[in-house]
Amino acid sequence: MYSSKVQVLFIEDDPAYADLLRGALSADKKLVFDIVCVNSLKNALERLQQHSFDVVLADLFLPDSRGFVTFEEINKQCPSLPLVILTGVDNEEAALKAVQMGAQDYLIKGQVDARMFSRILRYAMERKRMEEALRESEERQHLIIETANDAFIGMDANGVILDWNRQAELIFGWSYRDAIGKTVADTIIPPQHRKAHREGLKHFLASGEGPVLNRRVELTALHRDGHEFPVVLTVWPVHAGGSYRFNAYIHDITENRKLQQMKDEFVSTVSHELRTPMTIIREGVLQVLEGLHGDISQSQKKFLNMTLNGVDRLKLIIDGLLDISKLETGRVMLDKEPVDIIQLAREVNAAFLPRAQLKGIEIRENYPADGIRIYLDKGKILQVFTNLIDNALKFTDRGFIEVSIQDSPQSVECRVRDTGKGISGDNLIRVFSKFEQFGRKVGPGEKGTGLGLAITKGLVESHHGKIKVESRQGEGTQFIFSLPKFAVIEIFKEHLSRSLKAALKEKACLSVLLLEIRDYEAVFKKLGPERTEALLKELAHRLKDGLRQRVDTVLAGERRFYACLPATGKEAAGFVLKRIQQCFEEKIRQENLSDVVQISSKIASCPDDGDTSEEVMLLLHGTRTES
Amino acid sequence: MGRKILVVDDEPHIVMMLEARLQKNGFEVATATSGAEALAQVKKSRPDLIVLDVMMPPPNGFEVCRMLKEDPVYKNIPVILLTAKSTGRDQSLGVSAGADAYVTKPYTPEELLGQIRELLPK
Repeated sequence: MYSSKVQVLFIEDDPAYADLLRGALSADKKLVFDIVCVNSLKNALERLQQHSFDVVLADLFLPDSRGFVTFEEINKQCPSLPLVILTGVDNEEAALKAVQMGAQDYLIKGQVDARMFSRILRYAMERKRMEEALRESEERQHLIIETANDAFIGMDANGVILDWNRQAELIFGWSYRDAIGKTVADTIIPPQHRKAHREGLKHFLASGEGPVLNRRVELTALHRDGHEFPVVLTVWPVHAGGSYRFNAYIHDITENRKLQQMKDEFVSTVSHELRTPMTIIREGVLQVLEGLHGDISQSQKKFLNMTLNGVDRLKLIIDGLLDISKLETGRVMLDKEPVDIIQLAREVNAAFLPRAQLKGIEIRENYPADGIRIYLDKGKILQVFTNLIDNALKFTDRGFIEVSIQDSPQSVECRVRDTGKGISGDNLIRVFSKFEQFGRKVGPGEKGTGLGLAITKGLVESHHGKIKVESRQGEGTQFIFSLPKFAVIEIFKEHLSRSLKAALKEKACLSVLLLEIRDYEAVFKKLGPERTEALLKELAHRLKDGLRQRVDTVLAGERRFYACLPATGKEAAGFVLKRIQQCFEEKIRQENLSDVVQISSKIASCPDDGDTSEEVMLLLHGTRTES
Repeated sequence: MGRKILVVDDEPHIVMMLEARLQKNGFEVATATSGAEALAQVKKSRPDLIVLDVMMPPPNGFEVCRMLKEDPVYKNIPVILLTAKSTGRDQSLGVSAGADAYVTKPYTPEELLGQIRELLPK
């Protein structure tokens, strides 16, 4: 432990006791002690200045100092030096106080066996060393947090702020002193998000689940001066001492947002500006090529055709860039409807068949017998299949392309597999990046834009889906994407929250109707699947007809029919609902089902009933909907 | 034969090319390179159809289109908006300005001629 001699400073005005100690320590077999004895505090402090010691053993009562003060003076000069106190029976109080302040131990003269001294000193030194290490580690941690480029906030289970670093002071405008003890809800969470925050906390404490925990989330935060700004936040819970604490790193992304916006505007402007000269080139070349301005030779034709191909590729790149830019900023509006994804895949395959046959490549299909209807934007998913099959066809010279679709309760999994040359591991991680076209040799006229897979990924993700790629060089590649099967209620909620945002922005009202078949299971049992479906279809049709405005949206799924009526107040919505109810009842009467099928209905309006999709859905369903 | 089309674009080269293309296809062509000139040309040459660029110094294509569609004398002349923008927002602006069709640049001749033939009064 201590390889060389242990340097001991012994402060004691009783020479007899000093001798006693010297004798006891010299008997130690493991360690060699080098002892310096002084008889006053003044001498002790002088010695401490000149020489470095490993441990101090001190009587608190010296000719020039009395009691606790002795400890204080020594500790002030050498705070990291372990100190053991020797005291008389009647001075226990001062000694105890010194221990509380950091002295390692105290020994009462006459009650301690001199042979124990060496062990006591060894332990004192070791304890002090551990204390110092702990203190240093804490200091280091504090320093890391304090100098971090992100705001660090620690809070308890009620959201009361316990930690608040320098960066937090800077970005939120609250000083450490003002922030500590307040709740985050009262300081940095904008008023409109406070309710959700409180409920999220409550939900976590009750269930242990927190959808915003342990991942990067983009949110709006509130500055002390009242302005709101975008942040990215990571919160993680810590369970300690029987209760929860939350720690959070928060980064101000105002600048990133500005840059992102500038980039988008730039891409958009440049793309549009490029279109006019591109039109001139394309049309000019085409007219000459077509002989509109006189005859041209075969060779001239050949080169003008090449020019035309180049211009068309340029157009694809510009369109792709615009698509990417929209996808990256989440400005893509999905127009979701129930679509049979198998039918959709079949359509795409059929379109590729001539090209595949020309290349001698078989397109295999592997689908379950029944159709799978899910909510998706038909055009966008069509593009996904098209991009993947187009890609497969480009890089496959022999063999086949297999498109398979698999149904599962939560999602639909689609695969496009080819027997092409495959992609090497290094390149595989980059396939979804922009402008990545690795050295895969393709035929003339088959050059892509390098944006196809990036767009494909964006489109899948805009449907909350996932895409991945597996490949082996020489064996082929397969792209696998899965689309979640959202319940109608979730789709409607997503739509509602978008419509609400638009309504709030324009300070317009909005109403929502829900019509629901009571006791649906019984109805289904009685009518059987075919008749039930026919009835539902007819009712959905009538609902669409019953709504007059073009902008009204209808979603139907199983027993429920939702309609979203922008710019419609509660009263007006009531009239609409009445009309639809009548249409429904008429149909039910026609079918002689008045005893079997009953319809219940509800209206919720913004701003009367709330202005978030949660509040509106809560009113429609009576209970909070799962998201 | 002899149907008259007014071509409006502030880019003279585009006007030239459209003119050549349309003449080759048997149309009579009048041209304008600004919104104001377009409005004057409509009065002067009474076209059967208008191909109108959107992004021009004011009045832009949307405004010209709206003015024509609000005028009882000219509101039945079909208008095809021609633009470099292809966003949904632009299309809906075009629809609300009363345009009959919307063709994005760079157009293909088939696309443009198809629209023209479809919209010309039979």
